[in-house]
Amino acid sequence: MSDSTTQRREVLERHHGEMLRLRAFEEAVAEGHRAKRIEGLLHLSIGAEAVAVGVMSCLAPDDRVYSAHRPHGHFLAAGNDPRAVMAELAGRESGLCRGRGGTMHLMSEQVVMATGIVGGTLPVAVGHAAVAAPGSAVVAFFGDGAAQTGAFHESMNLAALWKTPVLFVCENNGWAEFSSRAEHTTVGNVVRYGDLYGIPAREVDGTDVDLVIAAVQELLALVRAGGGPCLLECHIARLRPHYEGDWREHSADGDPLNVTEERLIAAGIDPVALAARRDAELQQALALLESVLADEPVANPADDPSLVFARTP
Amino acid sequence: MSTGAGDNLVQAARNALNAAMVADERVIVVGEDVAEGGPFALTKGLVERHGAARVRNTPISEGAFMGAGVGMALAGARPFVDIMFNDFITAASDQLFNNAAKIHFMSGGRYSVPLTVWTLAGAGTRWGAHHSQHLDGWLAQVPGLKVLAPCTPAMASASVRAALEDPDPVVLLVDRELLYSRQGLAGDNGDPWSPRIVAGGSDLTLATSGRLVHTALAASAQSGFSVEVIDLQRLAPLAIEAIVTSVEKTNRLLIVHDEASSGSFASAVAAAVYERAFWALDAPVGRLTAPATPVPAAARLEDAYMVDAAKVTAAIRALMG
Repeated sequence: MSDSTTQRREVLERHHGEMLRLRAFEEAVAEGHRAKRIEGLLHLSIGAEAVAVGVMSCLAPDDRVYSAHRPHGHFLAAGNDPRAVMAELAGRESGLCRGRGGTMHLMSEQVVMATGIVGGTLPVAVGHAAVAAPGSAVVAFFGDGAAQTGAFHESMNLAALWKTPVLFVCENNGWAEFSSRAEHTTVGNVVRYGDLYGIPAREVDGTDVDLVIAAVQELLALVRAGGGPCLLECHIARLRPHYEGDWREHSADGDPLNVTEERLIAAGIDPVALAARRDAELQQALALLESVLADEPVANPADDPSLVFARTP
Repeated sequence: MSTGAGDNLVQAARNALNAAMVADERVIVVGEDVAEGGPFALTKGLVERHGAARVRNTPISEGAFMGAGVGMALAGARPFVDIMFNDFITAASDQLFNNAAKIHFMSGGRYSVPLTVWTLAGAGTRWGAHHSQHLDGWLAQVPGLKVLAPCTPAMASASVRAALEDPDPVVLLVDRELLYSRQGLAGDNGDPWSPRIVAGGSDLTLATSGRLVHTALAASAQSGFSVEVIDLQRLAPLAIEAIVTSVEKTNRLLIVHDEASSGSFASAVAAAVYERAFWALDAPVGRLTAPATPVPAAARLEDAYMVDAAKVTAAIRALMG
């Protein structure tokens, strides 16, 4: 086997490992929610792992990311401590946001914020990018449902006018809440808005981490060079319901882990070993859930009621 | 840029903004036509002095540029966002209420949002229901927002300075009617965050803000009673202590406020005073506001809608029995 083939396989294995880690974490969260041991309105990102891992693998430390309402994968892929994220979902004082934020309102250093309002982080990302250091970039994730908000169009227009270094990344799973894209808009793909606003735009199969990375690298180079914003539409599947606990059906096809595993098997990795990795990751995530529920302190109303303001007048 | 004791309110605010931009590179002005000076010349001359990167024109996209202000604040800048009329906050309310106001709390204290929002309010121009209302009660209701309502050039200047130095989102809710006023008051060198007594009295406490501070002073003098007039200055978070202290002395309270009566800021003040000083009251708390209707456009209708000195005098007399 040539050096470059080995190297490619190692990179793919690393990305696969990352995707597996995200998947296992959310499967453990889903399990905790089913058992009513984790509360909250959970929108999982199962099915979007290749986008999260692909995008984050292209970022520099000074780059910033704005997430949306399926944020867990983005926060984990950016290197946040899984224990702090799990503790936040479990309502613990030791959580990433001391239990005040919860699943849809995670905040951290590199992934600045998530949101419970569809489209709500897009203008914020544009403003952040407007004052970012030259050469750095801001990634703004959104779903295809957000493309029908005023916030999306106002943000695309403002970013194009100001030439701010933003990479808009659409995770298009074809569903906006409980109805299909066709019921939300007469516009086909989100990528078409790039033309309208004069923004370089690409679309990729978002279940293929290699394709995601190639597109992100190409567009981020334009963004970093000062050319203004770019738009990337990643087609993915929503492999879970809109929220955990909903009864409606969801897609079973388009699992990015399968895509990656087929490629690894073709590169000579033993399928049995891959199955064992999946199981080991899940067991580790379930152990993390148990440990967080057992050991992390519950957020208490008596702890720091002054959090409403940074400086109480 | 000239600066002087004779400045009107908008000149004083502009000078304070310019001084802050000179002193602190992080201050950035964002809004519609700000590089053109804005409709009321608030930002006149700033782009020439500080450049287009720090005086940023925006399209008519209040949601986007309020949100951009939040993002700039999160990135370490000190944005000053001009929302031409407070009526337009409706179009930016997701960004102001769900992001700016909540981020410090939701992040567990990791982030704060040092965002200043300058916006005009108030009727009297015949401009109708979309350029004339007062959203005091709405803004004051949202935990995490600070709201200042300066009523003199000196306090407008102090408020701009204070807001830009503050780590939290601050809305400067300015009465349009006062923009070109040069009227100062004793105590103008004080703290913009605290209520201040602008006239001492023993019969009745009158709590108000903005242009109605001046109206209330004139009406009190006409009323024949000894009225203690409090300029609230800070509407949110509510500074109730100064009102309670005064009511414990006068035993009567009249709240005079420019806003629709429904769900009003005045109602929140009344409820807080009932909770804190019920046994000190000799009469029910009085509230004088506009009626619970949109602001009408026609001259006679709008005049009838607005609080004026005659209504304040009548309300004082009614409350004194």
